[in-house]
Amino acid sequence: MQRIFGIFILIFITAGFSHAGDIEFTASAPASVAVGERFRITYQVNSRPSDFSAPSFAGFRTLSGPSQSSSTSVQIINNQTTRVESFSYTYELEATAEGQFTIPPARVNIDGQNYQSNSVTITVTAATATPPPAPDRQQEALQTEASARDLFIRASASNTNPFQGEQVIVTYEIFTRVSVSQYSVDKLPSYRGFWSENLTAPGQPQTRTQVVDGETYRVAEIRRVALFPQRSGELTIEPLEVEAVVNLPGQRRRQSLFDEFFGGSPFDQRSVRQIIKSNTLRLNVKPLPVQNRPAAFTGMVGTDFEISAHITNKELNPNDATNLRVTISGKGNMRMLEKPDFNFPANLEVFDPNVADNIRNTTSGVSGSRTFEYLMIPRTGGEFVIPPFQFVYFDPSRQQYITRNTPEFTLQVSGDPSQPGTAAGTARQEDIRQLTTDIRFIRTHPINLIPKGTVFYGSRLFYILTALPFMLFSFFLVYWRNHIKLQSNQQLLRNKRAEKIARKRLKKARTFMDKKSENDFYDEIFKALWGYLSDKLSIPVSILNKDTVSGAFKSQKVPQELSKSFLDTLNETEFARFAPGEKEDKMTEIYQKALQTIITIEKDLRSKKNGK
Amino acid sequence: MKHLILLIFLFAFFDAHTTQPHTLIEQANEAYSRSEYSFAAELYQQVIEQGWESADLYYNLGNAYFKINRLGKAILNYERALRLRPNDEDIQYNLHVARNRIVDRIEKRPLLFYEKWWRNAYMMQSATGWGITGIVFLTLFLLLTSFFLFSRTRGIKKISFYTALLFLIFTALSLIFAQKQYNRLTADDQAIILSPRVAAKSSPTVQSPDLFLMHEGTKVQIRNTLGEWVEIRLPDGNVGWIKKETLEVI
Repeated sequence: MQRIFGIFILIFITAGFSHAGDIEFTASAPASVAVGERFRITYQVNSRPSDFSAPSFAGFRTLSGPSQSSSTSVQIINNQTTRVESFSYTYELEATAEGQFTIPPARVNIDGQNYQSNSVTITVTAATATPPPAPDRQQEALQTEASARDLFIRASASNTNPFQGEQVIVTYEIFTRVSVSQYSVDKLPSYRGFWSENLTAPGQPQTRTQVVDGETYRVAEIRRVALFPQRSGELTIEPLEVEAVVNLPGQRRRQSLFDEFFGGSPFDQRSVRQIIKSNTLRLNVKPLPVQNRPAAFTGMVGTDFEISAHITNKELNPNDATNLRVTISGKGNMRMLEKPDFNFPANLEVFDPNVADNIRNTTSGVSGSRTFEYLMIPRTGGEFVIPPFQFVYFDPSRQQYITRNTPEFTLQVSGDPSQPGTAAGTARQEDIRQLTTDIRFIRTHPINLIPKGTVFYGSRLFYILTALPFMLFSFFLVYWRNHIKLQSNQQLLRNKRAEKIARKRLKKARTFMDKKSENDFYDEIFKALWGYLSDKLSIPVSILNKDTVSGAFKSQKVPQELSKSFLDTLNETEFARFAPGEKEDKMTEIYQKALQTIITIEKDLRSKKNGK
Repeated sequence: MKHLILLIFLFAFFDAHTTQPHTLIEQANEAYSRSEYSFAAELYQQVIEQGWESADLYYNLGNAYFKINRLGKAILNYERALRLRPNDEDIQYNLHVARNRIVDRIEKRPLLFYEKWWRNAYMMQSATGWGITGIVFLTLFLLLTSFFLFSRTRGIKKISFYTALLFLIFTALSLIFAQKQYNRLTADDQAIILSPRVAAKSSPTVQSPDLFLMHEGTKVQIRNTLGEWVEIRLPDGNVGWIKKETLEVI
């Protein structure tokens, strides 16, 4: 039962979750490209992935990538916070062969869950532009490519002995003595062990002349990269490959009419495609000094870092929103800058910061600022103190750790600190998290010890206590029976003797009548009537009156007339004493009536008894 | 009546002589609070060896054993404590925690809903508790029966008849539950494995092949005893022979 219920809950919860946080992970690329064409494939995901693994781009050449970008937006409508995040990974690929290629899905890991993107199918058509030069037109005697002395690329680093995380600017320059009509970067180094940022300014590079070993070269900068070593030790930067189209001076050769007609030049200028590689660079990366390293250091290396912070509104009502804007600027790997870890007070609800970048990649390196905007909502009234945040970075030029602080902020929120805000119902509630399981503590109150093996149930005491109520019950039963029996015996006796006693009393009354003793006569008649009733109906004389009598008659089912005549007799007896007229006649009449009534009632009751 | 008085006297007599076990328990509790768990366990054990028992005592002893990672002993004492007080939440919780730490996970057959209800009903109280409840209900039943017998008013007669009937049913149930708990309490066929690793053998000889492995803390049912060997049965139905010293009866 419980288990089924549990499953239901689980279904509801998971349904709720999947609805709340749908992960979308898509790959997008053009559906068809030509051989030799460059294109981008972009993987986009709407949550921060902890791990991204690209598929193999079989059939394509990877020119660069992955380049990452992210965007976040927070919307607050009616206290409902919606966060939209987007992360993308872009590769630049070149199609190398004709056919249809399917790029398998890429994988990301978000909160421990693995997600797959869709796979992409790309049709590569035959090349349409710049067909490769026909080999038969070339003559074997001719120079097929420019020599390394005529054309080479030199890679140079601004600092070959940097600290870990320090910015190193690597410049690639092409030195040429021959005419190069065009060139393009064919393959970027993977920069393993570095974080890289491209610094190349858009547009045509500036050229200059430089004399190397007595030869005059034309020099153009083709690429400039900022590298941030991610680990210490010797790191190697692989060569850069450039595809250049070199115009080589050709020999004058016999021209056909056909050629002349189509505008062939008499000076045979031959264009040769050529791949040139730069030299390999080696950097010896020094680790950051352990000495004097502040605890708050998170790994930022650079120069001229500044931190500024301000709060838009410091006096507000509970459940009002305010912003804390923190800007960190400097020269260094700004894109690796982590969010400031403020020690926010409890009861101040703080959302993840909105990150805005103003990062410039100039020829002198990466610099700029990153702004974190925290949305804060106090849930109660009172004073909220946001302690200073320490930003620590390592300055390689000064070879020391430098700390920058934000000021301490105090928020004044109206209302009682103990009272939750009026709209506290909207406050986020969290389940109590179980950190670990341990047994509960021992019992320290005095322990009631019992001798081992004593069990109350089944013990002698138990049986005694069980028998006790039975005994009491049977005692009571026996006692009550006897009592009732005794009582009924007495009643029976009195019942039997009722008539006799009545007759005796009447007899006595008669003697009084003869003596003309009026009062005694009536007394005796009264006693005879009442006594008879008391005995016969088992009603004590003390509670006997006309009402109880008529009630008792009713319950004994004595006919109405009988009970009426009895009561009449009683009434008459009462009145006769004081009534005027012949006293002796009256007495005789009452006597007769009383006798008659008792006889008839006796008869009636007896017949009922026998009838039973 | 005479027995009752005798019993009260008996309790009074014990009370006069229980100062020592109580001081032992106090010392043990202090040792436990100072995290001297093995010393605490030793002191609690001494009280038990003096012939005393109590759900709380077994519970504390179980806790001490748990803290020194003797899960088999801990589970054994929690089980003993639960027998004396089956509805104690702390004991149930700690037993649950201890069971989750042992190596063997043995799935119990899930109970059907009515079995669960029945079990929940009789596990509400110990044998003693049900015994007292039964006596109370019996007394009430007899009281109402006398009302029924001697009352002259129809209404009282009717009400007392039905309530008496109800109390009779309650009495019967209480006594059935008491008997059930008593059987559980006095059952000596439940045991806990105390050795870290025991191989159950197919017959009570050292040479016979090992059937399955059990670890400390696993609860088994004893089916048979032969010399120093016992035949045990696991809740999942596996049966094998192990040596007596590797387990202890609850």
